[in-house]
Amino acid sequence: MNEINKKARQCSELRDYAIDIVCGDENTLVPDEVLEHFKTCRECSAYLEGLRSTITLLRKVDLKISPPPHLVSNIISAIEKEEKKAWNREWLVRLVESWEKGWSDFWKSFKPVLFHPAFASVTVLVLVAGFVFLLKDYFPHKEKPLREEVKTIAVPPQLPSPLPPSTLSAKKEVSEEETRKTQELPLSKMEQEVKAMESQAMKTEKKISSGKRKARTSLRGAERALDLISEPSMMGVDEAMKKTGPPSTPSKSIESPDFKNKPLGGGKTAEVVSEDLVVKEKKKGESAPGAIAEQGVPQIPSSIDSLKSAAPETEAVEGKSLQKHAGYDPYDDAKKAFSDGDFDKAISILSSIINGSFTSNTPLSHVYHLLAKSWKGKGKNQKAIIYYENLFARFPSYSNIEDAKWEGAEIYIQMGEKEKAIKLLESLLSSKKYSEKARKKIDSLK
Amino acid sequence: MPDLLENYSDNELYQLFLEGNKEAMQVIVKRNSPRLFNFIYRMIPDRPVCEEFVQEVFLKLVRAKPDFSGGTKVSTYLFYVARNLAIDEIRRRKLRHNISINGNREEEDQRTMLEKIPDRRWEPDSGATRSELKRRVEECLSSLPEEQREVFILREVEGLEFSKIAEILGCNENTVKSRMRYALEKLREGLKDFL
Repeated sequence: MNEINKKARQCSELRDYAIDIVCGDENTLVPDEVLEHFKTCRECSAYLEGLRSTITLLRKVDLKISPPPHLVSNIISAIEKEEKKAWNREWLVRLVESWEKGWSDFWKSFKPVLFHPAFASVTVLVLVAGFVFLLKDYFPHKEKPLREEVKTIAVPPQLPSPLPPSTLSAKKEVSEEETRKTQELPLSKMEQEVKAMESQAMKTEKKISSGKRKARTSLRGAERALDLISEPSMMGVDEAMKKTGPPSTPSKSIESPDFKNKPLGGGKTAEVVSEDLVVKEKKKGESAPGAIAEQGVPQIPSSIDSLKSAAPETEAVEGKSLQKHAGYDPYDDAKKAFSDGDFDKAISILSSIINGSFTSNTPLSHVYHLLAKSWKGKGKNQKAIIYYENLFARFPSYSNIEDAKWEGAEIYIQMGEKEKAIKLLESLLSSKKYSEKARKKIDSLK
Repeated sequence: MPDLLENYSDNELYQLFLEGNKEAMQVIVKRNSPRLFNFIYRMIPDRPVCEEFVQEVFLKLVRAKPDFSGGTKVSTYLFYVARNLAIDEIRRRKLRHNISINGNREEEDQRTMLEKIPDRRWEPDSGATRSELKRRVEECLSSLPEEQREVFILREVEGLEFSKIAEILGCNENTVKSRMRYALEKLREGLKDFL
């Protein structure tokens, strides 16, 4: 049994040499005793023969697979691309190295890049872009759309007051409390409080300005009264007062302590001055009714002059220097400005009427028309046509719509928009005033 | 110029390439790409993947610029890289396969190599026999374990020495020989009908 096992182990060990015998390398040496064993041992001999026949059979079969013809060219092109990438990396390395060495080497490293077509084209592009950017300011701008003209005032959101109303009245307490709170509150709350205080201040300022406005109205009332007194009809002060109404007093609700005591020339307040005026003129009227007629133009007291000099100050604040008295219509001023050729003034007044800054009894259609004409007069056809279009769309039954359409058509012709012009002119064919003109114009345009 | 370069060994050509001779690399590619393609194809029978891998092998050579002054052959390095790529791909595929296949696959894998080979009878026509034999050999080869298959291909198809194969596979020469022996035994079993 031992002998069999020993032999089997020997055969198993020696079969490792079978590969060397069957398909070994040329320089492989197989020990003679192994070769002898394979000759003498029947099983090992059969095993060796089996391997040899297998390998012979396998070598008859061509196991090589021909690669695709484009393989080599693909690989070569991929290598070339890779080399270019590598060149870029190497160039950077060289650049850094040359920087360390000195300027001459650095320039040498840069040279191939500077003369590279890609670099050159990018440089040219950058230069051209820069040139265009610099020159763009020298070219005329396009007209801005009208929308920008009429600015809307954004009302800032009202922040809730962090302080209770009771504390507002007790200012000293509030200030103390605030000082205490600011020491305790975080920064964001403090900011909120500051904002709230600011909004309160703004409200107070508004109240002051409205008070000023009322004072001004009362002054105007007084002025009007004086005007009426000075009329040749010899109207008495009482009548004048009846006609214009008593001068309105400033609102009592104004809490601004500065306002009531604010001197309006001559060291008097607005209220006191207006009352003085009325009393003085009343006295004059009563004492010498014919005196005014003799004098012709009545003597305006110095207090009025002082009032007049004070008035522009407040008016300038409001930006409504044109609104002079109750019966006054800013449209008239705009019309006058337009006829005088002061289109800017006309546009300013009419725009204020449209956006509600000025109140006017004139229908909006007239305002739009005059505004459009003003823009046209100014040479801004783009803006003019916007108002004309608005007029046509919003007020189709406007009394002067035909005139407006004719003007609009003229503008369109000037702008080179023939189709729109023809459309407007066609709408005028039924009009008595413009039918003939419109027909001729259409023919000439077609 | 490339004709003159044909006489140089791969290592000499590689040295020329490092010195700036681009044509030297072209010769290396022309010389080795079919062998590498063949080897990879035997490991992964997927032509597009093989093309990609062969290209990747050469790109790695260009990128890495390895030093062959130690005596290592360029071809050995190329096969080493190709083998690693192939093995990685096989592992990836196996992973995907295991995820997607259910338990029935295990039974199939337990079959012997002979059982896996379809039963095609030998036919007297020589041409047909050769094609039949080739198909059977390819089937047997594909059913060999990877480590045996790669040794067999490197030895019998590519004609590399056992020492080089050991270098490529990173193992002992005797291990390579053992794997070769087992591969032959399995192939003999599979090709019994033709012997």
